[in-house]
Amino acid sequence: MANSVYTFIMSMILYSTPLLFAALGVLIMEVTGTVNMAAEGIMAVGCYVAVVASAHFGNVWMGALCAMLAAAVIGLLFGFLVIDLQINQTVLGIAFNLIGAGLTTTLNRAFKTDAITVRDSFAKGPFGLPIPVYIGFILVAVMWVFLYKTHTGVRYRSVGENPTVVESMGISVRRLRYTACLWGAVFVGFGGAFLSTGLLSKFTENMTSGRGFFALAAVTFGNYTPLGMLAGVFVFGAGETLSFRLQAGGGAFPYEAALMLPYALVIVFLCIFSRNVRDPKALGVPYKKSR
Amino acid sequence: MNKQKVLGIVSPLVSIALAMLSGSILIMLIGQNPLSAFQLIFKGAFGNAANMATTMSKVTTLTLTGLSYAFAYRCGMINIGAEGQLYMGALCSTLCVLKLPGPPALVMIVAVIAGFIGGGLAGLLIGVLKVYFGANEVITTVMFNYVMQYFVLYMVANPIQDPASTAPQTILFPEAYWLPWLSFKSKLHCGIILMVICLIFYGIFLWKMRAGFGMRIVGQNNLAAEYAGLDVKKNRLLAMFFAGGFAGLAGAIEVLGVQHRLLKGVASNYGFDGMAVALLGNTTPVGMLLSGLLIGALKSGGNALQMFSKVPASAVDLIRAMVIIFVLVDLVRRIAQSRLEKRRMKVNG
Amino acid sequence: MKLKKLLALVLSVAMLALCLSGCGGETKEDGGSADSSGGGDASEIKMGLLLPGSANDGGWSQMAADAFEAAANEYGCTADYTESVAATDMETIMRGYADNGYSIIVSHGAEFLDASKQVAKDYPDIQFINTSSMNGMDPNLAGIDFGSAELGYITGLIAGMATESNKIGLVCAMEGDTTVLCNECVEYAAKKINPDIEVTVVYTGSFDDQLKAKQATAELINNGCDVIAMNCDAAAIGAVQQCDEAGVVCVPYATPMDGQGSTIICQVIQDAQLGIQVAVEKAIEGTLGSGALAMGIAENVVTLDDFQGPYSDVLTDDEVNQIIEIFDKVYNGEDVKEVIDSTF
Repeated sequence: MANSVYTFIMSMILYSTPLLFAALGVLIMEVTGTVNMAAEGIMAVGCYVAVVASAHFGNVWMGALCAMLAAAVIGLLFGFLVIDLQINQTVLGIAFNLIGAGLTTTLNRAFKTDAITVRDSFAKGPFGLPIPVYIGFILVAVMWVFLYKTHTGVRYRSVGENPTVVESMGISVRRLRYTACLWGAVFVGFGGAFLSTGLLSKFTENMTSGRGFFALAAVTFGNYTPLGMLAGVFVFGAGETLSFRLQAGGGAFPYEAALMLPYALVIVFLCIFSRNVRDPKALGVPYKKSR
Repeated sequence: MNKQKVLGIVSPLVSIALAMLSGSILIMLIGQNPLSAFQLIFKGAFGNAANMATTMSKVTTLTLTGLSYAFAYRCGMINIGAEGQLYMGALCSTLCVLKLPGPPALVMIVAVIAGFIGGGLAGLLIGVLKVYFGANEVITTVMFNYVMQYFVLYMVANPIQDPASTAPQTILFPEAYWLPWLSFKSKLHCGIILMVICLIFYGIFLWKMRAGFGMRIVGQNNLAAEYAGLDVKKNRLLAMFFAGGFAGLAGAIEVLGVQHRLLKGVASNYGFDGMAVALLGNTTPVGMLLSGLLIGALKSGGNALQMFSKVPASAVDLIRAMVIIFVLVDLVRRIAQSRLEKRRMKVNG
Repeated sequence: MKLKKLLALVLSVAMLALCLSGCGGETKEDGGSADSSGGGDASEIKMGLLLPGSANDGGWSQMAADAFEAAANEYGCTADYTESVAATDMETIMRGYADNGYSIIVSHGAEFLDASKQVAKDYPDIQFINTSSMNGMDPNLAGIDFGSAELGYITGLIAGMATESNKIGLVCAMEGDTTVLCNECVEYAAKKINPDIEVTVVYTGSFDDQLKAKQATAELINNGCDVIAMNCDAAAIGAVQQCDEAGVVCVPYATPMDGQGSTIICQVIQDAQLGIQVAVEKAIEGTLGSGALAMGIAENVVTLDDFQGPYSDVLTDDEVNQIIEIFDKVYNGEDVKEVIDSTF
């Protein structure tokens, strides 16, 4: 019994780590008022670049670094389009997801990336979990300290609430939001890298399969706080682990019911523990500097 | 004033042209001929009556799911759940056709209404979770999409599966239950009329009726709305019911008019495409009709491109994304506006 | 000012692109016409293929796409495919091919069967082929079966002999009819070896999501399974990797997983590519007609890979020889179920 609880928790933590990183990225962008519906696409690029670069350098950390760089470029492009050109963030996110899936698939076919197997792997820490899992936890803590205990963090949150006030204090809203887009994309990109090279060792098309959206859901679930987000990630991860564990136990129920479980679980949890989620006031609203 | 109107027509056209140009570069990089590719897209979308009818049926579904997003959006909610609501509507109308006795024509009409109400109730559920439980609609709709997808999969693979088939689908409905054809030869069904009626209703309700005006106020600023004595909760529930209803109607039309059966995957990404339609069209009735046409044409044209050339599905996705981005960037209008501003500054300074 | 510069840049790039596209296009078309005039009779034929998944999924859909390419190269005919066909587009796309002079239309998977029947009725001169179906065919609609039952029986034999905990885990994506049939056969064969054996199937719901397959495998291993068999296209890579990490032997069935993990003891491969190629070639030569084309071990569509990796840890030489013997008997035309029934 104790052992099965232990394996359950370990499995839940390990397999939700890509989602955790993606959610961290989504969080930092959403807190500053930028809707990040593009996480799915950025993550796909992260997956792809990480495999190619890891194989090239023979080192998964280098692969992850390249994935983060590629994600950063996309994040800045996203930032340019929503901050400077003030395009609707939601629909741009959808377009970016199409680009992420389309680009990685096209490149994969052109360069036969799916034939590559990454031989290197992340070193393991205590409890036999790879190092990035711990980094994920540390980042949640860092994010909490940053957002609630530092001046810059308070500014970040204020930009999401009332950018005009922040600007009037002589701080550039544009610069803050760009920085958030950059870091957000970097985290999401690392989530993709850990998915394809940390937990797996190959790129396959559409391998992110919706994790970007679950990241968005986890962030909202957690009421835009790092700890709440972590809870959201784990509720989903627990649901997923449970859905496989139930099937592996060989129960007599339709498999569709088991696969439905993680999604239904999130809704139920949300209703039980709902603390009226309040979006950042300026979420999705482009900021126009008054002249 | 007149200049503005010209700009309104020219600007999107230039955007589409730019998107096609960048699409051409992409297609060339893949090693295909862009000219024949775009010819294929155009032919596939509008080449003959049958293709046009296919495009129109896609436009119908897309505009309705777009309306679903738009209605919730105008009331300040984000409905990512059109896909799940579409499934619900499709399931309800299918159950009507399969289980209800009576004259087929009547059952068919009931089924259409049931699709609307079924989708509406699915939307209402999201609204109730939000209003009474504080559950954020972004999460509940994303999750509900998956729940519905697996639920419909279970239904069509078990209780209502076609006993003669091994695939996850119901029987083919008898012809008497199909939506009537507008043009039998090209297989254009009358769903498009329902779609136009919904668009008109949307326009009149939100811009010509008191209730709609209140709803838009709630959408813009719910605190102010509450101050003005508007019932925010009621408005949100109503908006979600209609939002779900439109998506459900799309599902009903898809099963009664196009597929004539319920099958796995009937929603096939119409939810997200609908969001693009709504936002590209600025959530205005005319705008959504136009963007629905654009995305619908790209969808059926993209199919043709895949069918008759070596351009893969991923490239078709990329072209779609480019069209969306270029239309959003709206380069010509931007330049015109910055010029205007500069002139103003000169006059003022 | 900034925007103006941007516009100038974009426009110049666009102009360049237009020029290039014009030149590129013409040369391509010249090449195309030269090709078609040089070909023989079969080069006039156009074939269309509908795939349920990505043409690069490393499994089911890719085999069909490869088969098409091979046939096109051999006969010099036009072969186009549409990948990731949405359920709502099946009929439209088939009709699209039919209306545009395509004379052979292949739909890859049981989910296309009813749409094929609908369309085939309206185009009596076109040869339709639906894979993975064996029932009620119209005169111009042929079915192919890739020996799903045989695939399951052989997999069940290997897994049944290899397991010591008497628990076998199967990792699949979705409950399709061929999947269910195949898995029932796995269970039947395994229980023939030892009636105490339990076979557990976990469905992941996705042919793309490697991580889900990996996680499902981990749960099966947690639950005491010491042999895992996997069949979910590209996603199966994740399952093989988990077996590798946990040191549990595995038997990929249907889709080959060459070089993916060090614990693969054997693979039972379903070569849909060969099956489709045979069917398409028959169609091109006009000898296919209606009815069902059953292919399997005897036709080399279901093949047994070499025993490899740590197989000697879990299988004795006698057991290996027994499996090969049964396989050979089926190869020489005996019924697989009868052979198994008579052996055990």
